[in-house]
Order: sequence, then C-alpha cells, then structure tokens
Amino acid sequence: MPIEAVHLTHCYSEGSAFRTVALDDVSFRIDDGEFVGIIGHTGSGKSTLVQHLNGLLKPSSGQVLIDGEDLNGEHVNRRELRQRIGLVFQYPEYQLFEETVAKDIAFGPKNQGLSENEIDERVRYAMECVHLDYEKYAERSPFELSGGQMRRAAIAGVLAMRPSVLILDEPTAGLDPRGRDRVLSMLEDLHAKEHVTTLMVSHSMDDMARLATRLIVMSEGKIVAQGTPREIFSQEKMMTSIGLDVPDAARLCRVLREKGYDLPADLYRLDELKEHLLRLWKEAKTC
Amino acid sequence: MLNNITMGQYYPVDSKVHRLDPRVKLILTIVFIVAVFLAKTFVGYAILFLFIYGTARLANVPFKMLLRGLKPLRLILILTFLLNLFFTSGETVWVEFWIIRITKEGFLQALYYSIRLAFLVIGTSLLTLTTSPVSLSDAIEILLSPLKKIHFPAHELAMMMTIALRFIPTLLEETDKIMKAQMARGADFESGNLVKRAKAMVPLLVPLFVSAFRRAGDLAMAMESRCYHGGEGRTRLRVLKLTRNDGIACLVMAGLLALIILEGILL
Amino acid sequence: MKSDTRIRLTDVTYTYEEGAAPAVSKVSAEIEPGEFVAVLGHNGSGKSTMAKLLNALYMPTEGTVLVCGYDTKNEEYVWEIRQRAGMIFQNPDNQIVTTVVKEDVAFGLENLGVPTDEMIPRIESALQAVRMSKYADSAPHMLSGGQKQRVAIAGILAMEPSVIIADEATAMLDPSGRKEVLETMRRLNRQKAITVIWITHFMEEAAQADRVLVITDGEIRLSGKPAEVFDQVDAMREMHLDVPHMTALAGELRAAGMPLKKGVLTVEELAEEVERLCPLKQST
Repeated sequence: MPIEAVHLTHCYSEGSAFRTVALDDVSFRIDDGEFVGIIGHTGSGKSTLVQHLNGLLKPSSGQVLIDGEDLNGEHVNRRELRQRIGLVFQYPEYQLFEETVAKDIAFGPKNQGLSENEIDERVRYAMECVHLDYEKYAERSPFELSGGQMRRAAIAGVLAMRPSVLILDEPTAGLDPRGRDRVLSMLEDLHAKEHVTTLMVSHSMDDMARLATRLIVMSEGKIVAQGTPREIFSQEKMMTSIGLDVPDAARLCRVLREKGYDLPADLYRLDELKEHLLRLWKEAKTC
Repeated sequence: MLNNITMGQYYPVDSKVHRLDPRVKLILTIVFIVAVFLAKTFVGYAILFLFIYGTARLANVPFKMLLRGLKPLRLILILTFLLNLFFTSGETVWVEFWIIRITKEGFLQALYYSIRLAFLVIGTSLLTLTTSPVSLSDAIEILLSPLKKIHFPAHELAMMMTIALRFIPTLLEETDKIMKAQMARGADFESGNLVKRAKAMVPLLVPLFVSAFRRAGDLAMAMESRCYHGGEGRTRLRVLKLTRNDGIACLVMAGLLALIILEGILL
Repeated sequence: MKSDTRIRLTDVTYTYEEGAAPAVSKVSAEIEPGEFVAVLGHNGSGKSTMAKLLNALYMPTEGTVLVCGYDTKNEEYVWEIRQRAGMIFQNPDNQIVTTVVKEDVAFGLENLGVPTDEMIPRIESALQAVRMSKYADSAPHMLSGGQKQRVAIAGILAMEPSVIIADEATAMLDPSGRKEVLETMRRLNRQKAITVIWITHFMEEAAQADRVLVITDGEIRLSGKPAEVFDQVDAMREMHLDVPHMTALAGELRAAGMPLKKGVLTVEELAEEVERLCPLKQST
C-alpha cells in the first residue's frame, strides 16, 4: 500500500496575522516494505507532515494518496483508510488510559469492531511485536511499567490495529540508552519479519543510520534532500547548513579525506569505517 | 493554533483604564454594581449608559466587544424580560386575551430588569477586558489579605489562580495531542448520543488527569526547591502603586453614585 | 554566610519505603567548588534520587549530605541549602510557575524575601547570563524547550547559588535545545565559577564534563576524567550505557591490533591518532 504526497502544502491560522506555512509543496512516495526516515530541525514541518498522512490534518492544497486514493477525497471511507495507517505520536505513553495493558492495547481493535477472539489474538500479537511478555504484563496496570515499557505498550496499541504502514514520531525521545535500544531493535524486527512499511521521524542520526533504507531531509517546511543514508550523510555541508549533524563516522571519514586519506566518500557506519582504517594502517605498516 | 489563544477575555491594548490599579478597578466595579441596583428611573439608566460608553471609549475597547459579553446571556435576558412582562401585576392593562395579560407596569419592570442585568454583565466585562487575569489575581490577593487573620487562604488562592493561568495553554495543547492520538486509534469523539459521547471522553480524560497530576507533582517539587514556603515573608516583583488617575477614577465613580442616589430621591 | 562551597556525601543511603531496596546505597563522594561533574546512569540507577538528596528535597536514610557546610538533615538549614544549591528538572513545562518570563525568574527571589528594587537588577542580569533578555516579557508557553530550560536556569541564577544541579535537564529536548542548555551551563561554570552537577544519560554530554561519576543500582561504579571512564567500554556496556562512538571505534581498532592511545573521545582526536599511525606518503 504505497503512500504518496503530491504538492502537499499546509498553512496554520489561514487568513489571520499568525499565518505560518508549515508545509510547502512537499512531494514524495513511499513504497511497500521501505523504512523511510524523516529528519529535520524542530519546526521543519515533520510533525505536521506526519499528521497529514492519516488525515488528522487536512492539506491547504495538494493531496495525500493512499494506495492511489485521495485520503481527503469525497467518496473515500476515511475511517477505514486511517486504520490502515498506524500513527504513533511523540511520547505515546501519555495516551495510555486503561486499567490493564491488555485492555489498553485492545482499544484500537475494539474501535475496529472486531470480535472478542480476534481482539485477544491481536493483543497477543502486538505484545509479542514490542517484546512485552503477555503472561507477565497483560494484566498489569500500564502506569506501573517503566518508561521504556510504557512506550512499547503504547506502540503495541497501534500495532494491534494491524496497520500496513507504521508511522512513528520520535519513538526514542526521552528514553535512556537501554530503552532506546529496545525500541529500535523492536522496530528492526518488525520491519524485517513482518515487512511493515515504516516511516520514522527522528532527531537522532544514529537511529537513522541504524534503521533507515531511505532518508527525507526537511527544513522550513520543504524537502531539501532525499536519498539513501549513504547519499545523505556524505553531504555534511548541506546538513550542517540546516542545523543537522551527520553520524560521527561520516564526519571522521570527511575529516580524514580532507587530510588526503584514500577513503570512500560515503562511509557512515562504524563497522565499515573500522575495516577501512585497519586497511590504512596495514598499508602504512608495509611501506 | 492553540498557542495563540488569549486568556479569558482580556483586550490587550494600552489605555488610561488599563493602567488603573487593579484593586481600584475591582472595588469600583463593585460600587458600579451597587449603583446599577440603586438606579430607579430611565434617567438613571441613561446616566449609567453614558458612563459605560465613556469608559469604553477611554479604554480603547470597541463597544462591540462589550456587547459580545451579552451573547451567552441572550436566553436569560429574554427569559427575564418575558417573565416580568407576563407575571407582574398592574393596573394599566395594555393587552389581554386568554390567560395573557400585559400591563404597563409589567412592561416597565421587564425593561428595568433586563437593562439592569445587561449593565451588570457589561460592567464586569469592562473590568475583565481591561485587566489581565494576573493583575486581577494580584488584586484579589491584596484585597483579601486582611482576611488572613481569620485563616482565609488569600495568598494560596492567588497562587492557585496564577498556576492555573500558566497551565491552561499547556493542558489545552496536551488535550489536542491526546485527542489526535486516540483518533489515530479509531476513537470517535463526534458521533453518537450523549451517553456514548460521554463514554468516548474516557480515553481523553484519564490520560489528561494522569498528566495533570504528574505535572502538579513536578511543579510542587520545583517550587519547593526554589524555596517556596507559602505567603509568609514573601516579597513581590509586581508592586501595586496608586496613582493620580486612580484618585480621579474614584472621584468619578463617587460622582456617578451620588447622581444615581439623587436621581432616586428627586424623580 | 559560610564560605565552604564543597558538597560532601558520606556513606549516603536512601530508601523510598522501608524494606525496599535502597535507591542510593553507601555513596561517598566529594565535589569541589567550580567543578563540572557529570553523573551518568540509566533510568532507575538512582541518579535522580541522588540529585534530590543534594537539594534537601530528600533526607538521607543513612549517612550525611553536606551542602556548602550545611547538613541537609538539619531542617533549620533547608532554605539556606536550596538557595545555595539550585536545581533544574527534566520537564521544561513543569517547573515554570508564572505566566511571564521575568516574573518566573523573580519567583525564587520573592520566596527569599528579597526587596523589590533589589530584584529587578538581579532578574536582568540572570536573564542576560542565559541570553534570554529579549524574552523577559514573553509568555513561557510560547518558548521552545531549550528556551524554557534557560528561563529555569535564570530563575536559579537570580538566587545567586554556588551550585546548580541539573537533573536530566536535556532529556526532553531536541539536539539543538540540548546543545543550547549544556553550553549555557558550561559557560556559567567557567565564567561564574558555579559548581555544576549534571545528571544525564547522554554520554556525549558527560564527555564534556571535568569528571564523570557512573552510577548503577544506587552505587558509584566508575569515577574519573571522561577519557578514563569511557575507555572502559566493556564495563560501561555491562551497565547498559553507551560510550562515545569514537571511543568505541578506538577500542575495536585497538583490539584488532592498532596501537591507538587511550582516552580518545572525539572525531578530531581519533583523526589525529590515525595520522600518527598511518602517516601519508608525501610523494602524492
């Protein structure tokens, strides 16, 4: 189920003195099975964009096409389309409300009108996806979990709706290294095993370097670059000009290349950099 | 966006009325209310109207803004008028058919009561339009502080008002976010009957309360760590000082009250 | 006024409920005036509890906490301690009390009973120190997260503290907000010689401190200069903590036989080491 944005523009407070353009002629396409990362500064329009993709916000102009259908078209079942796109907001644990983890996760499927059995199955499936043990946590209050566990339970609440596309806004914000690692490896698994198309908004270049197959870089409501992490991270100048960093490995690679070392321009992973540095060292030793 | 909402109905322009001491404005509003109740004739009401109109002009508040305050009270105003019109007994009968009897006295009383109510609302609107909620809470704290002797929590009340004002935008923003998050999970806040809609609010209200409690706990700790220990021994950044204009305002109001009383005796 | 501005913890244990495992257990540490000390640990390690012990928000169950010479257990000194050791918290929204920035900066001063005409210059210079002067009359909810945190710092600064404790003050901010808050604190540390205790789980931030204390299960496990601490990559990983990428890479290269020096933290340092070990041939 591909998602497409076509000349998407959104203005807040249209027609008043506070009018601000949050999205400016944004176009892109996400195909099945991709893991796309959206990066950009705060206020670059990422969160606004994400809310358009499941119809929570309506574009001032332009279209969102889900499977070729206009999400805001006249004869479209918006509720049905929305359910196929799972949206996880920033700090999703703040939306937990039920007495038990299982009941909270069941909220989405229940709204979908599924039978008891199906709901139960979905809850088990979702908890497994987020690596929360059903036997141990299903009957606990969500408010007794640790921060990282709450976050994963909230993500499970969206996964239980079995969306074909999963959109996450800053899924690791505010977590400590261990919590972050758990969320990321869970997303990694989900993408690898369940082939869920994933769109992730993040500030963390490390998260992106680890997971994304393609990156969309945004600044001031516009898309300024699209490409593989390799292509994006080798453009350090462009990234710093819009206030973004590149992973340390990419920066080290650039520094060494400027000094005259023979390294490929597009390294951004520590493991590949390690191999190249060892090669350099061995070459230096043999002369 | 929610960020741009204005608090209460404060109309943020600069004027002589805006700059008056909030304590004075609060007291004068009370005096004005008394005057409204004392006025007995149309001459009195005309004087009051002139006063309101003049003050609004001086305050740079468009008269339309004042009338807007009446909008939510339309129903009550109409009801007041009709009830008085139909249920006041009088001698000069104007219209009579079936069980309905409209008398001259009834008509006048209906008019008086409606005007009175409208003036009360407009008068207090003048106060809230020209005084920011923060200064208003300051004024309340200072005016009520003599009551501290009988353990009335004047300072605490004002602090609560300040904190409430500070957190209204934050909580509104949060409500919007939680609502959207639950909508993304298929929640439906808009359709269904009253019971269904009330039930649909649970997924919104529970997280909102949880968050409000968490914020309250955090804030209490932050306040304590900044040496907050109640109102005792506290100084204030904002000190209210009476100016010449405050004196003039008091004189004007005294004059208005005198006129109204005279009018009641003479006419 | 006592001139001792040291912080000293001696065998400090803190237990939330009787019978529960202690959140902080037998911690002893000394923090010198003017130091910038990072306390690094994952959530639940006891680092936030430790912060609250330093501000007399919590009293130690056992042991003593001395802040600028005052024992936190002595209730008489609570206000003295809180004035000298100010604290900023994680959530930028939940520590601003009033609806106008400068009034929030005044909040602590009002509590201390500082006369009004003395307040105004103190507020101005505090806002200037965190570079927020032009927002003095703004409403806090219109500011960014980083700006809110700087207002919170100004609120503490106006009280003229010797120590500022930042309890995960950057955890909820975006990268630029994080940078802006950390830089502000480092500047205050350098220019005003304010002792900073920087509690965090971001290793990049801890790497910029004078000294790092690593805390796990309520105990201080490692302590020393950032380079010394982060070089213990395995020990850090075992505690579920990251080390700077360059330190990790240097460790792996060393394990593969490359004789890199110890204590590499930054890209520049590693680049220098590569240059030393693999000199470029001048011919090309």
